[in-house]
Formats: sequence, structure tokens, C-alpha cells
Amino acid sequence: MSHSRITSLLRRNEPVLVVVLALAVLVFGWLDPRFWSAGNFVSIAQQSAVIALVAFAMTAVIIARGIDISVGSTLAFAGVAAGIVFTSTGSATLTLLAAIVSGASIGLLNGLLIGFAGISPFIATLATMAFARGLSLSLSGASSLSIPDPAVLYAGRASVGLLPVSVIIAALLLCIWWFVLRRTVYGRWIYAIGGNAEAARVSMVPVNLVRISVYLIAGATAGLGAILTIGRLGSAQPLAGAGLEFTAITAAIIGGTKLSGGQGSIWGTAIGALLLGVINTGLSFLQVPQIIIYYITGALIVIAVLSSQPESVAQLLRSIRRRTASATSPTVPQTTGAHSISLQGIGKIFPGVKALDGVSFTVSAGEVVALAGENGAGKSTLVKCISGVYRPDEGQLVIDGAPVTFASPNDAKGISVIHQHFSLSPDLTVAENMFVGREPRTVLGLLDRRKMRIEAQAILQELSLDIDVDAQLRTLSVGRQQMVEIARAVLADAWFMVMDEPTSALSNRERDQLYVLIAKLRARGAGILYISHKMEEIFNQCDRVVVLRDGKFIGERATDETTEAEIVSMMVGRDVGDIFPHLPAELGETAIEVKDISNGKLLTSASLSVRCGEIVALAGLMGSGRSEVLRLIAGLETPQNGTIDVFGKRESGGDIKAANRAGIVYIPEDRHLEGFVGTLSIRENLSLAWIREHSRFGLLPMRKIGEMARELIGSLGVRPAQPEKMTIELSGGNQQKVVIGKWLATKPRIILLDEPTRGVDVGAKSDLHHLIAKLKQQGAAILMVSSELPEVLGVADRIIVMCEGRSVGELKRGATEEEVMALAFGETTRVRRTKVPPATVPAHPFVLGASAV
Amino acid sequence: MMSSHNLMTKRVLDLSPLLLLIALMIVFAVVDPRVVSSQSLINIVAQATPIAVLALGALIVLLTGGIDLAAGVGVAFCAVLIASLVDAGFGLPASLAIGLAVMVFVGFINGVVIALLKIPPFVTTLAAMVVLQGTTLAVASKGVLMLKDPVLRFVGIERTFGMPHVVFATLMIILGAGVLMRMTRFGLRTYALGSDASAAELAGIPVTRHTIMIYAVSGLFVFLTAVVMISRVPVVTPNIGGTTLLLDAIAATVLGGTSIFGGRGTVWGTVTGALIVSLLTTALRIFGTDPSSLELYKGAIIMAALLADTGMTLAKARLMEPAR
Repeated sequence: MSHSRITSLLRRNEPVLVVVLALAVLVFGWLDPRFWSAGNFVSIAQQSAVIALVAFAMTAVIIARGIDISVGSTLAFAGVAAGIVFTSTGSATLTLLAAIVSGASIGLLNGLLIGFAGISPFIATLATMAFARGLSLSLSGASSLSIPDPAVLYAGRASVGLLPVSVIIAALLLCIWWFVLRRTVYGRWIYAIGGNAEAARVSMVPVNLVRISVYLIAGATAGLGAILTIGRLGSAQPLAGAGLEFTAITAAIIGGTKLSGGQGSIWGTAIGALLLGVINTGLSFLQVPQIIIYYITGALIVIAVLSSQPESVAQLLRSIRRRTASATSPTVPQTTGAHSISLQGIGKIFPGVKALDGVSFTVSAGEVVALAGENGAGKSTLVKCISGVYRPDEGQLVIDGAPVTFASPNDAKGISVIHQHFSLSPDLTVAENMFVGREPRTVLGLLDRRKMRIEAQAILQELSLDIDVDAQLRTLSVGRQQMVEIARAVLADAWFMVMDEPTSALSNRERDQLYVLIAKLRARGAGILYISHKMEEIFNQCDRVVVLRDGKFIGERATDETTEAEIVSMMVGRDVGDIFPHLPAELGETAIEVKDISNGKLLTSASLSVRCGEIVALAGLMGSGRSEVLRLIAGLETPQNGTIDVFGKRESGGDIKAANRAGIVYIPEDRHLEGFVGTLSIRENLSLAWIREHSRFGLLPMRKIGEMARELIGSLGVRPAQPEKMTIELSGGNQQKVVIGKWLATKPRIILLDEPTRGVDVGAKSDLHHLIAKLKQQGAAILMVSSELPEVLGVADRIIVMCEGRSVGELKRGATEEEVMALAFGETTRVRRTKVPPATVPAHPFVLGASAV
Repeated sequence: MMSSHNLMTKRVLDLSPLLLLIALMIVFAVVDPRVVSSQSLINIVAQATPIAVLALGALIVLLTGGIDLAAGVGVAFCAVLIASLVDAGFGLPASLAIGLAVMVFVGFINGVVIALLKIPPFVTTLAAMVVLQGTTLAVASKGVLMLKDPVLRFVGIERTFGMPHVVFATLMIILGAGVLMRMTRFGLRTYALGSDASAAELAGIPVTRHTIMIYAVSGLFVFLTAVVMISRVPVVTPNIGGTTLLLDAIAATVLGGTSIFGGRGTVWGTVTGALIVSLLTTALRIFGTDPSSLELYKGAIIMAALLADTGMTLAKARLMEPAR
């Protein structure tokens, strides 16, 4: 209990910082009472002013997931530029302007390199740092430029009463920044970009422009800092600002700004800058040698970062504890006899949810067992428990008769998981990839490349795979990369393989090759756990089926002794009609009309139309071009050919904002990538797309946003109903509701859904479909891509089927799965079966393509 | 497989550092032959030696998408340390051994903080840079140190066939680096880690341990760079190396085809890049540019190189897309 309170306190840095600041002042004053003089505090404030100024801008840069190590050099350059302008014109106004403009131009340079060319921020600003420093040295002839004009020097050395002007300026900027970051659209955009730039882009945030502007502002601020520095010194120094960027970064990080982006506060930075000023001054008061000050600065940076990510320390301690705890567990016996793996009552609990409950089954060598279940049923959690990524909280794993516990995936010898994300490096060759982590070495300790090539060649031959061992992995198709992954597992003496939706990304031919490979592996004595949605595969390739639903083990059947209908009912557990409702609605005008559209790549020609008040489903195998059609309509990509008409008006495409104005919204396939910004709250995510058109003068209408958020949370049923909660902490189904809610706020008339219920549990799936049906009744035109046939058949009024980049047919409601499949495969004959006797042959496969587990 | 046209384009892109070097030499030969006179060429090669060695260390770190900002200052620190030890009577072999141990240890600490505490590399090495800077100033209490050791003189200043011995010594280091990257487990795993970090972890590479090793090896190369520098110029001050040398090294790696995004880069490309940087610096000096502008041009060169790198990365990715 207290542990979580401490972490939540640490999350709010400001209170802790104020305490530390007060302590530091007390300690230094106690050590040397002269520290507590008004004059000293004024001096500290003045010193901290320039740092604070630059640190505020740095905070915004870091929140936007960038970094700028050129601000010090920019300050020097701005000062030198100002000095030159003064020497040639004598005008104070021009001088002050020159400082800011030259700072801004370096900032613009940074912005273009980073925001436009996409160069990594610290390398780009490293180069700019050298460039700016070089400019200031060469323009000034490496000597200082004196500027005696009192107007120019005013800001840096004058005081109003006891308060130096520089401090007043810093305080002013503090308020401005606070206001901008918390109360304006621009500020919200900065946080959104830092949290998830892709999702921001899709939500109509002008990512590149905001990025460029943030660096420009940082540069201009450095120019302002140059003015203050000139004021203090009376001249422009070409070596000014050395180390300034590091102090500014430290102040920001101490203040709670996270380097990972999306989080930070200006007040924290201000206190951080003050704290650094106090420490610096205090240490020189104590006449601490310069070297110690260097050390402390270095240590402060590290401590600051560490305190901003307490999770990494916690994780480190946890892994140390885990390693010592399992140091005495028995290792897997390396017998070469018949292997078996047995799960006995496996259970796994996460905060708030029981992901697995009582899972028990056995797989022996030479068997292929299917693992079936809907999205969110717990399949991937189970796989992680088997492979050692997670430790089960209940039950045990028994391998070859002996119970085992894995501290890490490396302990799970003999077990290999063929993930959807391979363990292969794209830049290495096939042979190198097969041996990474277990490389053979010669007597001299060098890599035995000859052996690698020979053995790789041998195993590929044994598995009848025609792959060049010297080819760079990147040049192989996904299907062949998967073969390499399997070959790698075989080479590593894995006898038990988990295959996670292995045919989802394969062409027909590659799929058949995989089936042959599986037969070979089975003959070699391998045991395979085969995760698949496709009934035909399950019944043709597997001996038994294990079904999970909502984390619970429902049952196990031999494929010879069951039917597809029974497996489906075990997986779904209730009448399909409940989850996929169909409500009647009045048909309105034609909302979208698409003719012969193509994107120049995967999508060659698609034509369809959607009317208000209907749901049209886009069905087809993976790679048939369905998502591409949606993205073209939504304006995320530009069509190379064909036409899009929205409510009768021709749209040119390629413009997200124009599409949105026409009433179109797009709910993307991967919500983590393009859907929501994890570091923003539910309320902030819900309003992200809406604020662009509804904010006057760029100010956020806080009250309206609050009302809208509460309304949406209520009507969508987002749980927990806390608008302040960070979206990353919600379950998949609720995250999807937030994404949909964000777009519903823009009052769309056309809704494009891309796999709307992927990775969502059955309960949320039902909620979402009831919501979609209601929208249809309210007159929206809905175009939905889905790989789940029950979803397509249950919900759609019309079904458009795509095959290999073309729209090949349209079916009305009431069509059979067979008809859809025939069109999707582009064949008129059925795909041939390999082993199951006719009596139990399923009439049609269950699902097209694949969904995430 | 790729079409033969694509294959040839890819080959050209792979060879770009060498092509760039040759092109520049031709340009300078036309514009100002003094730059490519035999005496000047020997100087260019000799001046490229510390850049090449430091760049090789930078290559290893950059391959995994990290950075060692402390490398430049580390050279100064190591040089000052060794010179001070020799001056205090420790003898050259002992001083070198201590210098080596200290730099590898510093790299080790960097690696531990990065790998175990998960603090980003640039912050960690930034802090290390600050700490090393301070220590250098403290150790260099005498200001300037003269190294009069005959062995160092033999390596750095003596020549055979007109070429300073340091060049041959550097060639051996380069060879060693080549063997390390192409023919050892360490090299292969570094490429794997840089190519796809999560895949590397799934493949069973001990990422934490390997990351620590990478930064320790970087420390080793910092040591070697310091030795090369003090052998060439026996006057040791706290200002040698520094940010200028670090920028040269990074420019060399980027010009040599190392991608800032990780996973790509070769030893020979980096060495070629070092030669290019040295060539450009020499040319600028011969043209009469004043020394304070050098940083300016270096910065501009790096920016141009980075833009070219981004362009090349995109071009290569498009070329190598598998057939759909």
C-alpha cells in the first residue's frame, strides 16, 4: 500500500522538489550563514534566470520527444551576431532583434533536420552545435565583442527594486509556457506528439510543423538568453553558453520531464533550475574544488533521470530477486527419448484480471495440438507462460515427467516459439541468423563461418527448403523468413514448437510448403502447439484441439471425434447473434462511391459504394488490399488511380483534414500504433481530433471538453469511467472505445472501421457492435474491414469481397461463408484437404485471414 | 532476388565511401594540387590515424543505436593520465597498462548504467563526459606535459619509406577491429542487436551483458586513440582530443556508411570516412581557412553527411523490399 503511494508521489515531482530545495537552502545556510543573505538569493536567481529560460524551451522539446544540445552554442552565436550588428549599425533595437532572429534561425535549422529529414535529434543537434559554435568563433575572430549600449544591457543587468529584470523575464516566460502547455491546442499537440506521433498524425495534428516550431522556439529562447548574458557581461563572448544545454536538460529532468516524451511540467523545470542554482552557489560558497562540482553535476544528471523512471530500478530489483529465487530449480532433463510437455492447472493473474484459469493439457512428441480461442481468450498469455516469459501464478509445467520453473525464456531449452515477430535480424544472412546466440567457434575462438554455412545448408536441405544461406534476411519474403525461423528452432534442438498463427501472412503456395514442413517435423518427433483461427487448418493438420475462452480452459477434443460447430460453440460460448447484432435501419443517400481506386502498390482496383444507414463489410484474405481501400478514403494515402466521391462531391484524396471535413473518420487497425496516445488521459484522447476545429484563438475550451468527455464515456461505456486516467492503463476493449469516441466527437457521417474488435474480449466486442449498430440507425454510413467471418456475416448489410488487390464481388446479407470464401480465394473449386475422412469434413473454414491472439 | 539493375545500384551505394574519397581527391587535384602532393597525402594519412581509431570505437557503439559522448574527452583524460604517470616515474609499460585498465573500467561503468539502470546512452555518457572533464583538469595540474619516451617516439615520429610508423600501428588496430567485427561472436551479436533489438533478445543474445561489453570496448578504443595521439605529438595538454575529435570520429563513421539508425556500418567504410575527414580538414587548412572556422565546416559536413545517410537508408530499404 505504502509502496504505491510512494510511486504516485514520485510521479508528482513538484512537492518532492520543493522539499529538496528547502532542505538544500537550509543545509547550505547552516554550513555558512552568509548563504542566507538577500544579496545572495538575488544573485542565485539571476544566475538561474538564463538557465531557466532555456530550460523551459528545452522542456517543451523533450516533451515532444526530442532533445536539443545546441542551445549553448546557439546562445553564443546569437550573442556574436548581435555584437556584429551593433558594431555596424549602433542601433539597440536591431541588435536585440538580431540576437533573437539568429537564435531562431539555428532553431529552424534544427527543426528542418529533425522534423523534415527525420534525423535523430541528438545527432542533428550535435552537428548544429558544432556549426553554431564554429560560426560564432569565426564571425567574431575568436574574440569578444563589446556592446556598451545601455538599452541592450538593460535586460541583463538592471533591477526593479530588489528583483533583477532577468528574473522578471524568466518568471513571465514561466507563466506563458505554463499557459501554452496546459491551456492551448498547441500545447496539447506537443504532448500528443511526444506520446505517440503516429496517432497524433492520424488525429489531424500537424506533426512536422509542431516539431519544427518547437526547435525554432528553443533557438529563439537561446537568443533571448544571449541578450541577458550580454547584459551581465557587457560584451558578446564567442565561448558563452558552454555546458548550458546540459544544465537545462538536467533542470528539466529533475523537474519530472521524461526523456521518453509525452510527460513533463514547466513548474518542475523552474524548481529544478532553482535547485541547480542553489547547489552550484552553495558549493562555491563552501569553496568546494571545481572538480567536485563537475562530479556532482554529472551525478545529478544520472540521479535526475533515475528518479524520473523509478520503474527501471524496480524492474532491476525484481529480476535480481527472480534470479536468486529460481537458482535452485531443476533444469530440463536433456533426454533424447520421447518428450512430453504437460500443463497442470496453469493460472496467471494480472492486476484486476485473471488472464488464465485452470489450463491443463498435454502435448507429446509427434503430436500437433491446436490451441483455439477468440481474441482475448488468453492464448498469448498461455504461450508466454510456456516459453518462460511469464511465471504462472498457479499450477505447474511438467516436462518429460519433471516439474520445471523458468526464470527467463533462456531457461526454456527445447521449447521454441515461432512468433509473429521473428527472432531474426534483417541485416544478417540466413546462415548467420540461424546461429545467433549459439555461434560455433574455431580453436582460436573466432567464428566458424564454414561450419555455420554447412550446417545451415544441411538443415534447410533436410526440411526441403530452397533458401540461399548467404542471402540477407531482409530480401526474403515473410513466408520464407518464417521458414528460416522454424529451421533455426530445429537447429537449436527444439522438440516442442509453438506456432502462433503461422499461415496468416503466407501466400497459398507458402502455406502448402509449411504444411509439408510440419509433417516433416512431426516425423522427426517434434511436438507442435498450433494456434489458429482457421477451422480447416485445425481439422486437417492437428490431432487434437484445446479451446480457451476468457482465460478459462473450456475443453479438449480429438479432431476425429468432433465437429467444427462444437468447437465454435466452445470458443464463443453463446449465441453468435448476441455478439454480432443486426438492427434494421432506413437507407439514405449514397455516402461514398469509389471507382477503380488504386494506390500504386498492393491495391490495384477496387470499386464499391456505401449508403447512409447501412454497414458494408470488406472481406478477404490478409494482403487483399482491404485496409488500403479504407486508408485511401480516409485521406491517409494518395490514390494513384480511380475516383472517390463523397456525398456526390469528387474528393482528390491524400488529405486527412479534407476527408474529416467531408464527414469521414477512420478507426485504424492498430490502435497502439495509430489509435490513441498512451500518455494522455481519456479526456485528452477523446478531445484530440475535436479541438482543431472547435478552439477559438487556439485556446482549449476546458469546460466543453469536460462535458463532451463525460458524455462520451457514458454513452460508450468506457470503464473505469475516470476521465483523468491514462489511456495506456485501460483494457484493449476500452482503449478501442476511446479511439472510436475520439472520432465520434467530430460528428462523422461516414465511419471507416479497420478490424474494430481485434484483440478485444468478448464482452467488449458485444458492446462495440451494439454501438456500431446504433450509429447505423442514426444514419451513419459504415464501411468495416474484418477478418472474422461471424462478424462479417452477422453484422453486415452487404459484403464486398477483395482478392489480391481487387474487389471481386458483392454479396447481400444472408450469404453463406462458402460464397464469401470462394470469392476471397479467387477459386471456384474448394481448397483440397489432406487427411480428415469425409464424415467430419467441415463445410467451410471458420475465418479468413487472421486476427491477433 | 533483386533485379540486376537493383543489384548494381545497391553495389554502388555500398561502395559510396570509397567513391566519395576518390571523387574528392580528383576535385582537389584539379582545384589545388598542393592538397594531393605526395607530402600532403602522407600527412593526410598520418592525421587520419587518431580519427580512424576513435571512429572504430564509435562504429561499434553506433551500430547498436547508442552513442558515447564521453569518447572525445576520454582521449584527453587518458592521455593526461598516462603522461602524468610517466612523468611521476612509473615507466611507459606500467603507465600504459594503468591507462588501459582505467578507460576500460570507465566504459564498463557506462555500460552498466545504460544496460542495468536503463538510462539512455546519451545521458549516461554525457554525465561521464562531465565527470571526465573535471578529472582531466584536476589531474593536469602541471598544465603541459612533455613525453620524452624513445619507444613512443619510434612509433609516432620515426618514419620508414616516408610513412610514420604510427600508420602501420594503426593498420594493425584496424585489422584487429576488422577481425573483431567480422570473425567473432561479439561482432556478429553487435550487428544482430543493432539490426533488431527485440529479435536479438528473442534469439537468446544476453543483451545486458553484451551492451556492457560494447561500452567497455569503446573505452578500449579511446585508450588506443590516446596512445596514437601522444605518440604523434609528445606535448600533452588537457585540450587534445575533446569534442572536435569526437565530431571528426562521428563524421567519419557516418561518411563511411554507418547508419545512425543502427544495424549498418563496416570497418573499411569507417576508415575511408576517416581519410575523407582528414582530407577535407587538410584541404581547408591549405586553402587558408582560419582555424576557428574549422568547427563550422565540420558541423556543416556532418549535417550534409547525415542528410545523405537518411537518403541512402530510404533508397536501400526500397531497393531491398522482398517481392510481393
